[in-house]
Amino acid sequence: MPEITRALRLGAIFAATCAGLACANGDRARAVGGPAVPLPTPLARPAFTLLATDGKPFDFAARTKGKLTFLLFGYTHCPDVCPVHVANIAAAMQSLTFEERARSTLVFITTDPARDSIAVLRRWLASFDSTFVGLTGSVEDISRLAASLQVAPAMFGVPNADKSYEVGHGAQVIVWQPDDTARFIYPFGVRQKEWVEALPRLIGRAPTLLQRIKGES
Amino acid sequence: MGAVTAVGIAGLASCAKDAPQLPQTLTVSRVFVVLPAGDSPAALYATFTNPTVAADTLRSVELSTATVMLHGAMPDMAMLDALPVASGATERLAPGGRHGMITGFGPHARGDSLSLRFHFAVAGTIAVKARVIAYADVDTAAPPAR
Repeated sequence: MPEITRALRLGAIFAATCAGLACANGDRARAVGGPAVPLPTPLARPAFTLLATDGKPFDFAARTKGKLTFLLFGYTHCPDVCPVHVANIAAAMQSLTFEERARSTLVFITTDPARDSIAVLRRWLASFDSTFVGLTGSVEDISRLAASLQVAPAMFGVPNADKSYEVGHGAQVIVWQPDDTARFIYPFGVRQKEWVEALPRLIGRAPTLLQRIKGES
Repeated sequence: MGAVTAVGIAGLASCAKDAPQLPQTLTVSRVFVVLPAGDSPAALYATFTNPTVAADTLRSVELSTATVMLHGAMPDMAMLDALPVASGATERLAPGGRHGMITGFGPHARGDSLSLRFHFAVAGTIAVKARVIAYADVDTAAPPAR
């Protein structure tokens, strides 16, 4: 299957790139906190529009402008990586202040639009946080968007006996900071504590007096 | 040379005498079933420890009210027919790694206890109680496979 081979190759290239970047820019990543992987070139908010779970077009750049934004691709039939990622971010976001939380959002783009109807997406996201945004579109549009963000596009597995199937996809979270620039991605495996440590810096919270004294700003 | 050998043998004997007795059967521990999010399948995480001299294989997992499948790790997460557990090895079903997928999961709640049966080629059937947790609990209950 050429699509799968291509996706695997992209994923491998991306993983290798991430590993290299992590070594080269480890200090910068540590300054933000957590196992962040710096992007080689800061990424502006991409201009794209997909269908949201309210049935209306969602202009990503306009609707998330100025917000701390977590963007990830996945599918709701995934019992493992996708829900664990989203649950960990949701749990960590509870550590933000009310004002910071209002300036933060998570956008989940399905890689499996055939099964992830807007109703299915809405129910799934609501089990983590009712404010999280779910987006869908054609497989082609979503794969093209993923590739433009250096995320491995979806690869559909061979159907099981019960006709269910798995969907491989890039599992990293891209984080745009309030200045509308993404400098880091977070691979799968980031723990809740690491997110909690990273969030204040990602949202640009001013360091406390104690942190300034300790030189942790 | 002879003295050195004798001391070495005596030391070995002492170590063997003081060594803790390892369980001589394969064990299944830290078994968690994660409540589905929305209409999705549930996840199963567990740890298998095989202190025996024989390699073993997990052939299937049984939950009376649902179907349990084993899946591989990212990126393709393909279905697995079996999970080998080598002699002396510990294997995990863990987030981001190989994991169990449960379909047809019934109306359960966080904190419930479920009876699962793990079928091994050598160790036979091992019945274990699993605790039902939420996805927010996975981070502490079942650390990622990295």
